[in-house]
Amino acid sequence: MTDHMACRQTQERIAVLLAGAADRRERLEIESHTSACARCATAYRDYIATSVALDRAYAPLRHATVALSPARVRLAMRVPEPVPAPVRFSRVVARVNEFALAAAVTAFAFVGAGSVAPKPAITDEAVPTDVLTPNMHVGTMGDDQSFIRWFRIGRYATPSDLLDPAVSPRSLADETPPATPERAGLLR
Amino acid sequence: MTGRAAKKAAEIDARTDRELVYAAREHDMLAFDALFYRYKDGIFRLGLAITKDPSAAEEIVVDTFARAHRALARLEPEGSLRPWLYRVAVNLSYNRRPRKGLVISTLEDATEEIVQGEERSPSRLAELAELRRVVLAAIDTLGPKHKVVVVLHYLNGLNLAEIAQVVDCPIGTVKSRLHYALRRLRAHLAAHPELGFEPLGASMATPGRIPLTAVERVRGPQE
Repeated sequence: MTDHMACRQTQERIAVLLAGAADRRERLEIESHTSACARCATAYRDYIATSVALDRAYAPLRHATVALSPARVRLAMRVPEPVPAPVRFSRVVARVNEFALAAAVTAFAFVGAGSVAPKPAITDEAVPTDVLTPNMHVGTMGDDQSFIRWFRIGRYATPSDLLDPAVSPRSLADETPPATPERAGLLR
Repeated sequence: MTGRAAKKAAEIDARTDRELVYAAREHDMLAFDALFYRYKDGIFRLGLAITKDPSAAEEIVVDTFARAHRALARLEPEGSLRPWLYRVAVNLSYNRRPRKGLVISTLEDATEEIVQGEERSPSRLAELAELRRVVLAAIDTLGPKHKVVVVLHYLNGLNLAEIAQVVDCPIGTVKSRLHYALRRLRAHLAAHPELGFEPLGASMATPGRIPLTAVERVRGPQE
């Protein structure tokens, strides 16, 4: 056996010795080899230091405990097993159907909302002006002022003022027949 | 606990794993609970050393015993149930091993807690914590096969024959893996002279008898 092989075998035995699995004969062989071989002597010393360092590094973890109850195991065993592939496929199909139905309902809601949406308001261009003018009262800010003015006049003015179309509001003027100049003159 | 219950618990604790497995097979939940309490801490430490995540280690304990319960009908432990349980735990640990850098190492925290409990100077505590950090980082550089052997031996205290049962390989392979792991660790730790390692290049020291005090302190006398 060459020296290299002897050294390799010895160093492997050193690991076994440090693991507590070498007998007395092996230990003596290791010691006799390391007393003559500097490389193996260094390896022996380093392996001892490595072993001690490992032992110390794991020392705190050796006291670690876990507060677990066997009930956790029983609970874990109640978890249903994974479903087989055919069942999974049918669930996927059902899911796709749900999405398709939801999309259809949403689309119907939007289309329906579009069909019953309020029509555009009637504009002045759509209706002839000559029809609108006498019958329609387009509200503006000025109307309120006219009403207040009319109300004040109706309360304090003489009755003849009420019949003056220039003073009365437009709506009232619409409802009352136009006063002829003769009649207006009589009243005056 | 009443005297009768305590007596029953003592009886269950005195039973072997094989007897407990057979009793659990007959739906004796107390027997299964006894197995759980007997091995939960060891499995937790094993999972914690590999995953470095306490919550993952707890799940590994639960999953290991859930599998054991499902496998009760075909379990035939000759002596101890420990190798079978540890084998399942090792597989589960490596299946859920997180990516590097994503898990906070609680192992170092636990180390520091223990160190702080001792009466030492702050500088000494810092030095010890640093040395442990270096050693644990060196262990992390090992491959899974070699790391398992190191963890099972140095943390869980399994002998080489039990490790061979756990990793399901011949005892010669376990010896070889342990030697390889020690050699790799020695190479990593040689960069830290404060640990007492000599640089690998300077290995031509004067031959002589190596004092075994360190070994005997750790492992006890061989005889």
